[in-house]
Amino acid sequence: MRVLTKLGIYFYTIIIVIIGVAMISLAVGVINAYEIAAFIHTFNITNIRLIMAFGGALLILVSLLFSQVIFTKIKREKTIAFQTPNGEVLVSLSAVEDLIRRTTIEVEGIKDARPDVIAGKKGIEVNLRLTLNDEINIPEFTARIQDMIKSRIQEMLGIDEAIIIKIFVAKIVTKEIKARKKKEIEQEETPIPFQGYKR
Amino acid sequence: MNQNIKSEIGTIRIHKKVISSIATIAAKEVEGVARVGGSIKGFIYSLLKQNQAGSIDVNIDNNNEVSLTIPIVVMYDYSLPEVASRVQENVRKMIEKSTELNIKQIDINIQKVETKEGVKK
Repeated sequence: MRVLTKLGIYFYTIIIVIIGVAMISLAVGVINAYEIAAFIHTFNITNIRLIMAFGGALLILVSLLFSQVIFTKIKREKTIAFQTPNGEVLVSLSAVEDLIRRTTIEVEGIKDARPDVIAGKKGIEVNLRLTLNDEINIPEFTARIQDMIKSRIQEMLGIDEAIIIKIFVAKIVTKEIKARKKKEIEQEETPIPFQGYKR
Repeated sequence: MNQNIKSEIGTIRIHKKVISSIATIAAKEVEGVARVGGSIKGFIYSLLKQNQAGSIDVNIDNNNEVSLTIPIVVMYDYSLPEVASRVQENVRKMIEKSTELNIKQIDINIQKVETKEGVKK
């Protein structure tokens, strides 16, 4: 499936590049519109017309198949599914992301969390982008966060699949920055005495 | 499409909307369910200020068996499988009790997790 997707992407890239080059050539004047008309005029021979029609139909068919493959893949990979006696339960990956965001944001030392969850054949992969405070020991802290998220997902989803958690510390907010921001906000909010007082 | 039940003096028709309304009420009754909906279809219904029952898919097959797909939003701090299976059980119980129809399958789609502040019942 992956090979097919890659081939499809290459195919469409080539088609789009050809269209782009043709448009630029027309605009610059490298290709003349009359030359194109004359070229199309040579297709009067029935066999060439048939080949062209067949080629066009094939292109449409390939496009439809490709879009179907892509959409099915997206749909399948956007949920985590498990079976119960009454039917199927699908958990949207955005629900799992919400869960992780809310769990991590409660932890002291984390300013912002942006999780991205991917469900594959190997299990669940969580890519977590964090903004942290500067007072913490990052290796120790992130290891604790990884354990916490793992147990939280297992507890909330009730699954035994492998959970891989990758943490990316994107930003560290220092106290100085926080204090400066707080001061700026305070200055903006400070009321001017007798403002609005008129005779 | 309606669900037909034959009685001695005529036919009773139950509309799909009735089934989805019962399912919505039954799902909301379960502790841990923030709301029914949360899917794209549910979002369109909320924009149109329509009942969220419309976001539930109801299918009736040739054997007159009902299959439902219910999108829900679960409250944070609740076990998702537990809430989902309680919703399945409650919906099955309520539909069977109210309509006497056979339930084939109840699929639950958990769309989102919300905290108490974000809950709008």
